[in-house]
Amino acid sequence: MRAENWKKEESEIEGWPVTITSYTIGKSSITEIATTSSGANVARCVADTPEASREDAFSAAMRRLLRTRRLPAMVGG
Amino acid sequence: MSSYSHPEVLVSIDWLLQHLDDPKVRIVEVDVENTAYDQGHIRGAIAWSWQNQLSDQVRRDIIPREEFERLMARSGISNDTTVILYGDNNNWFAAWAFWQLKIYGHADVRLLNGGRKKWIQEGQELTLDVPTVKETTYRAKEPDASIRAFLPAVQSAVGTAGVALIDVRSPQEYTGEILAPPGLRETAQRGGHVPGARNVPWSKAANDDGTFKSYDELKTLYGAEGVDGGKPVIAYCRIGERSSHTWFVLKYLLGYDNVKNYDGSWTEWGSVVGLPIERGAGKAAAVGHAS
Repeated sequence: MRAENWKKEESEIEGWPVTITSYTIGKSSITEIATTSSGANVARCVADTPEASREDAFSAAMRRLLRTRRLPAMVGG
Repeated sequence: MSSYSHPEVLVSIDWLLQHLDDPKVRIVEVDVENTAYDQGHIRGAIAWSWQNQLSDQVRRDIIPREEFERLMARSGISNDTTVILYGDNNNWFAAWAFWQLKIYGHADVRLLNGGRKKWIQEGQELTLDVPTVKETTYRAKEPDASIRAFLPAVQSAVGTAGVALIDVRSPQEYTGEILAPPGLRETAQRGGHVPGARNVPWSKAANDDGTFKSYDELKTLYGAEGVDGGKPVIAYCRIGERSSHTWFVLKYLLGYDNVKNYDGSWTEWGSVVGLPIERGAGKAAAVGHAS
């Protein structure tokens, strides 16, 4: 088997630029969401359909990104 | 265009396709997300968990030598095996595993250029089959301290022009706007960076498909920040995996001799009482002080 329907897009969730990658392997649809600046994944969801994995990944990413604190103005920057 | 200083530590997908059945080669997937392997992996690859198999389960450290020997033996790896590492997130933890294998002196370890990302993106064949591995005997060397920095070495480097400190996190983590990559658990008490460290995010060394940029591009990138091989370098991030990626670039692709990975990284420096930190792009702000 091979990964198929590989797709990458840029978007924004809760004010954070994100990179969304989606593809299918066999019967599994996978959506990965990473914050663009760090490259770290905030969500990786597997479901039976592309729509379901995308919805799950967006929900998970939103939950996690909402918790991210931006600290007050920096000394010297 | 110049070639990498040590091209032998990097393999292409084409090379790997030619060696999938080579009995001298062991392929190991090391992911941030351990579930990725279970959904499909390169034929013949085994998986290592960076959290459970490559990290000490009690103290914060890499695994001790004896445990490393057991892991290698159980993985069917002998001292003369060619180990090919690959993983998700642009090989973050594959690079971290590479660094650990070098600490224990494994002779022939290589990264798959582009890692899991490029393999998936190209639609290369995947399998769910987990290979049966025949246990070996493995003897690790004494840990190589020349490629690992502990806290005292970083403290000594602060304020001196003799060592280049490279913070490979995102600009927002470097300035102190956030304490960890967005969405991830905060694991430091303060935001900012080690005083004097220059910010060269790891991602600047990678192409869109996860492969490494060319020798010339890398040389220009780090040279612009004063990292040209003329003095020792210490790279750090949050927990040491992104800085392993940069350590690999500086040590093997650019061939700089004296490069250390500070795996204590920001989770240590940003939490230790009394250590100075710097925020934004400005001057040092003391976190701890006598009062």
